[in-house]
Amino acid sequence: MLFRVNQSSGVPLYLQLTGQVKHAIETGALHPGEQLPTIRKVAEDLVMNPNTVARAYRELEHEGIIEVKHGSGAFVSQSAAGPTKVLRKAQAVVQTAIERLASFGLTDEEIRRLIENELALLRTEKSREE
Amino acid sequence: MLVMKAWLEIRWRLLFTLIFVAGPMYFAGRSSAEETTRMLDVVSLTWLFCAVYLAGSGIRTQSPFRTTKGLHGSTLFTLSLPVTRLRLLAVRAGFGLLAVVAIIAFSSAAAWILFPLVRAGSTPADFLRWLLTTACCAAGFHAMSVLVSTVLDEMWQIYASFAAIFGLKWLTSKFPPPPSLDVFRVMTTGSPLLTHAVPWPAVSVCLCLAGILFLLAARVVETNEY
Amino acid sequence: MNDFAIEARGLRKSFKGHSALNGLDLRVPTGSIFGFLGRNGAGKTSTIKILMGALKSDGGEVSVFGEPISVASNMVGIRRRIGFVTEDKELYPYMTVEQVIRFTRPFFPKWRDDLAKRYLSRFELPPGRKIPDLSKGMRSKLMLLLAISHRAELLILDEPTDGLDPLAVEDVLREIVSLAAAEGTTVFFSSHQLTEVERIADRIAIIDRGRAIVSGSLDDLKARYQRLHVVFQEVLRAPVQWVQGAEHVRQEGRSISILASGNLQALAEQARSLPGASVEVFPVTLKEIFLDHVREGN
Repeated sequence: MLFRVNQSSGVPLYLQLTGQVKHAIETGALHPGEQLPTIRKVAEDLVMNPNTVARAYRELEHEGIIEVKHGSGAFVSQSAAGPTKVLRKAQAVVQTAIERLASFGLTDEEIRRLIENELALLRTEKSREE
Repeated sequence: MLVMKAWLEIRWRLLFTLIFVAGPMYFAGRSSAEETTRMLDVVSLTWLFCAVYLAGSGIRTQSPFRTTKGLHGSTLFTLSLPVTRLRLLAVRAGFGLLAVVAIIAFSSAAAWILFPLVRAGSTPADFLRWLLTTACCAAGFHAMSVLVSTVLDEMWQIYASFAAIFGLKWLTSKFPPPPSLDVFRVMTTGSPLLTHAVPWPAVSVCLCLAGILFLLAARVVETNEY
Repeated sequence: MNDFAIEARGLRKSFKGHSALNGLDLRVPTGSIFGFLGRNGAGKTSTIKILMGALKSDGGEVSVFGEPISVASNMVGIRRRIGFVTEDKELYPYMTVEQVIRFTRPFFPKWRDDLAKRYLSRFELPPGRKIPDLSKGMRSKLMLLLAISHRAELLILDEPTDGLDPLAVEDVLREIVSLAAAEGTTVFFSSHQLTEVERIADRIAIIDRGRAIVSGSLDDLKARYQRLHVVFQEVLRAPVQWVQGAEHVRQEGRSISILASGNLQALAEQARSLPGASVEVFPVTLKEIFLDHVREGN
């Protein structure tokens, strides 16, 4: 089982799944051109709604990370190596931010809460624009 | 497979009625010639008991060994099947009636073969007339029990049906109807074994009642809420 | 193919003067996994019984597969396409597993023996065992087996995981998800287990005192609802007139908890503008949405 989702985290499941796929590509668990597990398999393994999985796959396809070939399934795009560069940059940003926040004396939990708050506000702003 | 369900629900009851009927029959068969009527008295009552005991509505699950109080979950399963309530009722009632007739046929045949006293004074044709009469009368009472079973739970159905039978018996003894219509007389002193004729009035009344009561049961079952 | 597997409008039902259903509206899209939530006595089982034809409604209209159930001749055809799992999962106590299968088979023209066989071994159900000797989990699986074998297009499940051990719960949920994914089976299930509903449902409805007080896509609901937690330096004297979107406001001492339905930005700004306020935003679980809506009704 390649992916894991956390039901109790506030992050929507489909977003967690897209994150998991991207992470898998980044760490080499999934190679460009390799086939992803079917929607059905992911839904069964994780015991989650197949439409949620489908939505995650749609998002990934929209971002160009995977390609869906009718009848054969979903495959990692050849160009999927791209996001890794972005992620590495992002990782650096997060690392610096967390180090700074930690130097203020904040605990892990407090830092996490701060970040989730901002994400939540950002999300609602985004959905209002859509 | 509704017949399969009916069989599984009935089979132990059938065995019990067989034993229940055998007892009185055996003792009756050993009695003297004048007591054929007494035998018929006892035996006809046990046959009516069979008619009541083997009745069912086909909707509520009848468990052979446990008394199910209230609505057993499996009743909802039965109702969820793609089958009309009428069909559920009809198969169970029909099968029950078949079982009743089978018991009557079997025990009367056994009595006829084993007890010369029963045979005395009657012909094989009389035996068939006897069979026909008893079966039709039992059908009437069976239909009554089927109707009661659509409203009352298992044990209460039997109590209520018996109360009805004894009540009817008491009524007919207090206000005797014409002999050709008296169901109880027809099964005992007016039996074809003795009269050598089928009491058509009583038989037709029983059959008509059986039909009407069954239709009433069907109506109840259609409108019932579970 | 209909858009909606189940459509109910203004459903009413009373028992002995007490009204169980009070104008219930329900729309279950074909192919969805629909969670039907409510407290005990809110009307869930009555609704399911009406769908199955065990009860007749006092008012309102219900269609299953686009066919009104008030037309008696429709019901047998409709039930042929539905798989039903009852709340107590009781089947006939005098039958064995194999007998129940043999009993159920002839009612369904679409029955597939190979599916029955496959699932018999997959669910590890011993064919010769009597029903009362099966655990509740096994009985649930047996009822699912029957629904699968007759290729039900719609599953109606009354508390499918109630009384099941955690392993059986996983198995049942996985089967439901698998059917939805592989066959496009519509699943309509009632449940108390909000965490489970949250996992597998894509649409929900919350029923309280006979009416649907919340309904819609679970994703939308969770996006719409957020919790705003505001803590003040001192207890507020005057009550705050919150802008639109503050659905349920609860004040406890120096903190106020708001279940916000949309308009989060404006509410957060308003909260921040109050003297000495610190504001936090939390995601909301289905349980919180449920509890807040149902408690409010008291």
